[in-house]
Amino acid sequence: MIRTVAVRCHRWPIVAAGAVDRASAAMHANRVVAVSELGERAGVMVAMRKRDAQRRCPSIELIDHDPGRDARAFEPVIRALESIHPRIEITEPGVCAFGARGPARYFGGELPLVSQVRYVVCQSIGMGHGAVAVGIADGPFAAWLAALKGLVVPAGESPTFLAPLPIGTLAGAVDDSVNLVDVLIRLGLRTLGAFAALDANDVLARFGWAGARAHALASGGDARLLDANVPMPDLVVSTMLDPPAERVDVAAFAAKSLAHELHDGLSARGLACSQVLIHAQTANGEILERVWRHEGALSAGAVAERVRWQLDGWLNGAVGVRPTAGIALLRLVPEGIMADVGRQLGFWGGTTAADERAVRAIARLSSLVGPDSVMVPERRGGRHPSNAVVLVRADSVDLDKRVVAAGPMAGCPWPGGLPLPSPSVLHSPGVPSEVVDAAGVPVGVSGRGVVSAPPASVRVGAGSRSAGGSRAGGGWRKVAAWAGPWPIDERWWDASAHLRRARFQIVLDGGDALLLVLERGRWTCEAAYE
Amino acid sequence: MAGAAQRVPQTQEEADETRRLLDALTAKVSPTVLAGQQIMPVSVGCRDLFPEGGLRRGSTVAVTSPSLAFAIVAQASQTGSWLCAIECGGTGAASGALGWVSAAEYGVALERVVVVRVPAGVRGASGDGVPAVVSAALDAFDVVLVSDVVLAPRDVRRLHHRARERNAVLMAVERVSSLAGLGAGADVRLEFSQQQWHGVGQGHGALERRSVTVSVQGRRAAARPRDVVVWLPNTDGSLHSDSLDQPGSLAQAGSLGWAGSLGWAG
Repeated sequence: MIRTVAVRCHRWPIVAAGAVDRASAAMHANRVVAVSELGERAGVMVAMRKRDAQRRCPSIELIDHDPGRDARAFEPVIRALESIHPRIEITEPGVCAFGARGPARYFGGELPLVSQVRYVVCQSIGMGHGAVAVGIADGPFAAWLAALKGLVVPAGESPTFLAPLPIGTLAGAVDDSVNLVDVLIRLGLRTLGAFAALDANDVLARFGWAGARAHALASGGDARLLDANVPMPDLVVSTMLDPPAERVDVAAFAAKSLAHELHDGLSARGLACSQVLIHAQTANGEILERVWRHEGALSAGAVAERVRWQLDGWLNGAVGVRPTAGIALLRLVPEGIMADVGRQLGFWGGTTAADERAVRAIARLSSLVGPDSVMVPERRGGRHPSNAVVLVRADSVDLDKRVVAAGPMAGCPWPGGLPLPSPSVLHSPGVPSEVVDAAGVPVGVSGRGVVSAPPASVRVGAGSRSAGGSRAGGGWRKVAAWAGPWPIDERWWDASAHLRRARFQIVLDGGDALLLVLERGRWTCEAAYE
Repeated sequence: MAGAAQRVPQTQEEADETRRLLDALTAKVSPTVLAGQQIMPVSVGCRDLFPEGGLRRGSTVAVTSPSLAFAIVAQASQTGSWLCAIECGGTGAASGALGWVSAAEYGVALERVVVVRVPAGVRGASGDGVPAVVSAALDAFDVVLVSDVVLAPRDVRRLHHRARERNAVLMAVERVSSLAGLGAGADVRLEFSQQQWHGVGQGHGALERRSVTVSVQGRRAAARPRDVVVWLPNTDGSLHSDSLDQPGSLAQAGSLGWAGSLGWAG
């Protein structure tokens, strides 16, 4: 069992965003991911919904959670820690681990090592000692938990330390752990000790590979070595970039194909790796190496993403640390190699050949038209059809495990949204239009949402823009039927985002239906039901 | 035992007959690709639009309405086919983008949708870069939706051939009907000849459903022009071919106006 130091920076997303000194929270998918100390004092907690957080602390600053930014900001911390140990393993941005034996001997014991680590990290992020927690225990899992409490668990005492902890701490440590934890709680095993007391063979028989691994973790037997053995050399993949890549995009694109190559090499031997060492070298010989850890098997896309983060931090870093030339060599070294236990394809659906073909084609299309132009739809919330589903870059989404139905609220109504069916063509920005009543007077809507007169004629693409391609473009057309106005007053508390508008559905004489919007006395055609 | 003995062929004719049945059975259970698998399923309401009752792989379809295109590909998308939509930017303000909320309502599985917006730099002045993008998409995706693009006739023929070769369906959405579009010479061409919305009145109600008369033209099996009436969408968002079991629904929807079903959206 290897003595391991784990370092956790508290509230790392907040620290990375530079918002420590005020009430702020990092948000992802409408939930709080991390919250600053002032925000916490106001009662905001992790996993809270945005609206609840704002209710408890109206002045809270909401930051979008950005793993790339977190990883970039963590780079200086790792560089500082490298003065203590040359090989730092990054679990996730804000959390890292390394072997304790050598440094502990050098600094004269584990307690001096802890204070040294704390000093180094606090220096590099420029904050007080409370900002970082350091723990030492046997194996990375126990050390990670020890760091939560800021403890040094004596050698051999890790099982005793782990025993009283709740079983929920296993969540995230192994594959499919959420379900496993759920089952264990229902079986009455509420602490790690109770789970560890089971016979290992029984656990393997009942819960399979992932269960056996979780059992090993719970009993303090984290068998994974922090510094893994030197891998077989033929698994290492590398590529020379000529000319050297000055921009992250170029290097990351090369890394993506490299990651695929690594993945193919591993899978041809039935292996998977649990960490990957990313080695980048510039034309002037500067070297940057990082070990990234990923529980379970790393997919090719996940490797490429980490390469992008790391290079982003280096190439766009502060002037002092930025390399003096472009990146000339990229090398991926798989570590923590283990037999790939494989994955059972779902009986109903799951990944098919068509899915894999499509994911490859996306890479091909990205190279043709640029990565910004290849997009996939993602559900968001909103009252306008262009907000309810937005297009995001395809390479920022893990297409292998994609589910578009967003969360438990999907399918619930949006108060003030448009009635179904939704328009099939969206104009963004809207096409300026004119709507008049039978007397030829422009139609308006009063402050109380009453329409001045029934609309009689519509002209879409007024003035010089009438040459547009829409079928409704050009001259005046009679209104056959209309519905509205449906007034909406959005974000009245924010002067820059305030929207006050009335929406109409108008069916024209030929049967074409349009969504017309009146805002500040101007009509626009925002969508068409074609 | 007596029943089993009866099945033993007695004469040469009977033996031939049995062999013929066996051959037919072998063909049915053989692992080769059958003609039926060359047809991608479409929802019940759209079956009448196609002479084969579904989307034939390798064929080209020209549609004038995006919502009809969504309705046609929905079933294939739900059964695991990927959809690639290529938007070519079009002619500025009046062209508009496809509404994916609407697509989801028609049943398109958004997790298997990829949207490519061909940037002006790639597109070039006369659409030079578009064929490369479309043919790359045809290589990998089952259904490729291309909206509003004008190409040289040579490129159009080449892309149709590519779709046939790759067993993909090329669907050209041409809201402005043009002879130079990708849908020129398509196997099936679907145009709206008439449409009527129901559910909206004079200042009350909301768009709810519409009956559309689609004129079907095309080549080969679809060569005889036909008119098919479809509901697009029906009240539950689904699609139904007009059939005799709901003759009253049209009149009912039109006369009631559905004033009660709306409520203010505010």
